[in-house]
Amino acid sequence: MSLLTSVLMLVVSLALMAAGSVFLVNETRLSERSVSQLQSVGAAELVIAHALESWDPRNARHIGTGLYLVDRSGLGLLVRLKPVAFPQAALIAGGIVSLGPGARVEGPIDSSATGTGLTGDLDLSRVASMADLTIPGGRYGTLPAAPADGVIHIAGDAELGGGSGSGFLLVDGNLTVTGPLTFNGVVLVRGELVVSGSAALSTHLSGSVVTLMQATGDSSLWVTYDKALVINVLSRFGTPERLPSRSWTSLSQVG
Amino acid sequence: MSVKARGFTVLELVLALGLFAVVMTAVSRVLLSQKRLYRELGQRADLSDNLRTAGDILGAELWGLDATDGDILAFGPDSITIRAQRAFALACSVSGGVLVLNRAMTFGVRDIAVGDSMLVYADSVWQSGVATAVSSAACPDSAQIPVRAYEIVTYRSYRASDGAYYIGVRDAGGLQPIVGPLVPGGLLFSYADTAGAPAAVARAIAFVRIRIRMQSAEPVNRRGVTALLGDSLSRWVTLRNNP
Repeated sequence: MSLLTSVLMLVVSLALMAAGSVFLVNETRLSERSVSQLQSVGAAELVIAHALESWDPRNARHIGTGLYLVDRSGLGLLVRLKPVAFPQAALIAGGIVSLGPGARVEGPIDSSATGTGLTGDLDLSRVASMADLTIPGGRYGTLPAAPADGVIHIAGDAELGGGSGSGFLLVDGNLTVTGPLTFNGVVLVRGELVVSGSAALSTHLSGSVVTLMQATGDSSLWVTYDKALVINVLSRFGTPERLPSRSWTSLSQVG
Repeated sequence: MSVKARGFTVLELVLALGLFAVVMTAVSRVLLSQKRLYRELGQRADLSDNLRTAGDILGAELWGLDATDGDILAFGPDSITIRAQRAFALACSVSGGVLVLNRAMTFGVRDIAVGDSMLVYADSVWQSGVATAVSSAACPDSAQIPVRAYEIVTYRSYRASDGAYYIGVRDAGGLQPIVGPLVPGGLLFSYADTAGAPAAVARAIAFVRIRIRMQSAEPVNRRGVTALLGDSLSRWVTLRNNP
């Protein structure tokens, strides 16, 4: 190969490299700009929509009653939960309420309730899906421990010998309480509720008790209606919506 | 006995030198054009960076506005005056006009300062006020209240002492350059309502279109012609805090 041929190949190679670099730089610049514009116009809206569709209060920061701050990749979204409509009564039953002598119910009693009179607009399947503790039906000496103010879901008929807890107790079947159970919050039984024991070992339920069928209680039953407690427990099950105004913010740290 | 001659003839030397000169000329031209190309690419990269920076800054300022609640104070084709958010924080308590903020939950471009307009989310509405003093206090991490701090700023193009045009921001501290240089008249805003029609009043604005035309800081030589490079950016910004 002659020297002249080598020189020519060198020149051609350099020219091709220069042309290629110009092409690559221009393409990269165009791509970056397209991505930037896409991000500015649509990305935040997509994040907001996704945050509301996949709402789970456990993934958000609770900053007040029914108010949450969602942090998604530096995007802060203030989410307000539309409160759950719920009957205001101490003991609500879809069937007959049978209370023995000495049973104490401090607050209204709704018997033979139906529809929204039973559970308001609360979505029970959503409550179950947000359970902090799910256990099968069966006989339990005491109520299994769960996070305070959490959701305990018993998937079947259950018998409780006592214990204590707070939050939301959801029982898919019948619930029989035979010992001193203390629970602060909402007890919702899809089947029949039976409370039996002795007055000395009373079962104290503060908040609200709902059974979709009949309720039976002897002298050990003591139910106290607590509206504020019920609102607080149900606040996490409300429908999420962004604040009507100024819901969005950037969460970049102060530099 | 004959002696074999060694070395080159004059003709061979002349041919070799000639060929060397041709090669060196070609190489020097390639190197020169590479140097010009490198310079041009550098200017293009700077220009592109400046455009992107300008778009990001203006976009970040505008997309957090709530026009329906009066965040756009004045608007025109070449400038916009807004109530720009400077900080978002969570307050531990609000009592007697005193906000105690959680320092770990304060976000934004700077801390809240005296003179900032304040919005506090209380009783399900944003309530307004002005920061008159800032001090430090203990803040337990308990139930918290959203707080926003704002300052009034104007974005517009202006001509600096070097004769070039820049995007500038005017706040309480005066006019400061942000990025440039622009071509004259190189910053334009247009405003649309939710239907996409031109917005007649500030509270109807739902989208802001930003058009920026910039030029390189230094001229480049292309095919013997020396000129400034130019590029432009157009971006629609959705005001995300509108209801």
